[in-house]
Amino acid sequence: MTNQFVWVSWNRHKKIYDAVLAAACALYLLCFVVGSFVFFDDRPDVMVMLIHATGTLAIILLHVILCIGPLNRLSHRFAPLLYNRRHLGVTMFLVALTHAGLVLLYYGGFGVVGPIHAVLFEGRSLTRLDAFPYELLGFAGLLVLFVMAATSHDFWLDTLSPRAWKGIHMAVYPAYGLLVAHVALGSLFDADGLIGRVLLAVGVAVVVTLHLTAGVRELICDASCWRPMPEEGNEKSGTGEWIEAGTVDDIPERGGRVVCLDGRERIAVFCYDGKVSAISNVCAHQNGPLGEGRIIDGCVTCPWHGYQYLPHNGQSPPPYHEKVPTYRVRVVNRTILLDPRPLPPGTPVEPAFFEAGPDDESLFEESGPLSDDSGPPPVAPHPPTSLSEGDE
Amino acid sequence: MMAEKPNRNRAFYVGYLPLPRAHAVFLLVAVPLSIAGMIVGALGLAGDQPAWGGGVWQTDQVNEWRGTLRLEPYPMLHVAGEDGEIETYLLVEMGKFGTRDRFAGADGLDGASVKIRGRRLHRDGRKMIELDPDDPKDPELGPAVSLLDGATPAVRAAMSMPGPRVTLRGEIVDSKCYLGAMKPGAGRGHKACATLCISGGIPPMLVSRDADGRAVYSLLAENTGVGLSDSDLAVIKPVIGEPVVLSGRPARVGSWRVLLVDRLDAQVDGASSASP
Ligand code: HEM
Ligand code: HEM
Ligand code: FES
Repeated sequence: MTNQFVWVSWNRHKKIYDAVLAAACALYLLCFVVGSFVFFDDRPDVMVMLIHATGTLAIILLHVILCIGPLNRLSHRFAPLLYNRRHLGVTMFLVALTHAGLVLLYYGGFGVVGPIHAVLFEGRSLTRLDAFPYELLGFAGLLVLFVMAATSHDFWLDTLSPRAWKGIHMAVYPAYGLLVAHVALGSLFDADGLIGRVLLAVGVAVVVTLHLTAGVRELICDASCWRPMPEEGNEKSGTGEWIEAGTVDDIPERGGRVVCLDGRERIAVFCYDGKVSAISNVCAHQNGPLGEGRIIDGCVTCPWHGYQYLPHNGQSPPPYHEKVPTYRVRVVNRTILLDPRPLPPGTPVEPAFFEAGPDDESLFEESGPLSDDSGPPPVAPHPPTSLSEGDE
Repeated sequence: MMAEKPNRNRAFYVGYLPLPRAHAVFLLVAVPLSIAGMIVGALGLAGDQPAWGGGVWQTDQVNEWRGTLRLEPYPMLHVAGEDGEIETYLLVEMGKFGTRDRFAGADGLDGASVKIRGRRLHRDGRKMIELDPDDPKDPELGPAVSLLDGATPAVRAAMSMPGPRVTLRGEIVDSKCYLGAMKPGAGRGHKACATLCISGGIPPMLVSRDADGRAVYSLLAENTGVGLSDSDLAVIKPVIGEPVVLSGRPARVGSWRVLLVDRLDAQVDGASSASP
């Protein structure tokens, strides 16, 4: 959504987010170092201690990253954590890279063969667990994280298409599996202590449970808003191909609702100023759920990173150029009817008007086609670069 | 009627707009809680690390020793201790290299009196010197080692007669890291490094436990008393840093204990096929 290339389009929230993140990481490393000196009689080996500190911090951050998505599906309270998740991802990658770099330098350096060879291959066997090359698993995981970090910028999102980009970022799950195995078959395999094992087991359980819970809720939600595709020649209520999508009273003013179609994309239906519009539920940025967004300054605003679209044509206001598909709508006796065939992205559609109840009357006063009663015209409502940050 | 309209005032967060109150309240609780969790986690995981093992590497201090050089099973220096006991220091290079190559070319070095500069490593009474690479170079012996004249009294310590055969359960470590170059210098995390060190000529050492649970340190040697041959090194390489069982005859050389191992190929093949 940026109209020009910038590395980071900073805003206040991102700065606070990054400051808190950096402080939390620094505090973690500091406490780990202090603990390493205080809890043992012997002096720690500083490099080995840092290998442990950065490795554990990286895997903790990875768990946080993986939990934010489903948590945000379960409660919108977590939206501020999702907003800048990409920086969390890049930070985690840098911490993991430090861990791997220290291992290669310290355990792999100063010897007769090169560090990569020494750490990943020398004297290892795939058939004996005692000699299992768990470092290879960490290396593979790190490679995946690298690809994700390197393509994290919205430049790549645009270049690769959101679909391909999302595909790349789904690789975080195989990477997670590799890294859990890296730790379980590595340091934890014959560890004396219990804390690491318990934490890893709890972490995996939390990640899996959250994903299952959010997934099941999504399914239930889909089922509750699901509409069968109309059958050929269905003339019920005289609507032809049109399908019912609830009543205008089900939808909050300047809010939306998601309608799921059999085998088709979901549709986001919005009510505002006595009008109803329907656009695709899928944000052009990173597929955020537009139907869970709001109309702000006359624009549908995505709940994830705040990309905006005009409800009557699915286009981002200038200077942006994102477009999503639109749908034709009608309102009959406060019942919303949808034509389930998507129109090409950005196609203008006349909103359907409905008669407001007594509470809504004020909303009619000023409602022109492109503005509402509360905000400035929806043209570049925010600094041009302020919309472009994302989750990873 | 409109009273039935769902609540439209649910707080809605947009990153570039002011933070809604409900989100601010939530963050004010959640962020400090998460940070507290990070602190507890850091302390817990720090305490969960394996013990550091008490090795010492005096990197900040270069010392000088005079004594008698012995080349087998691994280059070492016998020094007369204060109470008349012999102290024996293994000699290694900087990095992950042994000193065998340095002494290989010169004749008559075994038993020669030498002066050596370097940094001390020690753990649990076992001692080692890392030769100082910055010391002026002796034309024959490289930096940090120079021959003393013949008048210097030698510190003699022949290898003792080997005792009866024993079978020891333990871990093969590289003596340099284990004595303090890297702490704890043993175990799964250190396997790659130990393999690299031993490949570079650092003397391999078996760490086992006696009946009372005290650590027993045995340098591994051929039963002729020389250091492990290249073919035997290749045999032990895959099991460095793992639990192993080795049998052989124990002997002493100076203050070090040596295990003169039986045929390694037979032993280690058996050990590795027995493990899961
Ligand atoms: C080239 C890549 C990597 C290599 C060579 C590598 C190597 C190692 C080694 C040798 C250890 C054992 C350290 C010891 O016991 O002293 C270790 C532990 C660990 N690694 Fe990695 N690692 C890599 C990547 C990663 C990544 C990407 C992560 C997480 C995001 C990670 C997380 C951990 C954790 C949590 C531990 C256990 C804590 C510890 O003992 O340090 N590693 N790694
Ligand atoms: C700890 C530090 C930082 C992280 C992690 C991070 C990550 C990012 C990333 C990736 C973006 C992307 C932007 C976007 O589309 O919104 C961003 C804004 C950006 N930052 Fe940071 N930043 C941090 C500092 C960095 C670093 C280190 C990089 C990169 C390696 C980086 C890169 C980016 C990029 C790419 C933008 C993007 C741009 C945009 O708004 O168009 N940033 N911050
Ligand atoms: S997914 Fe909609 S703004 Fe990012």
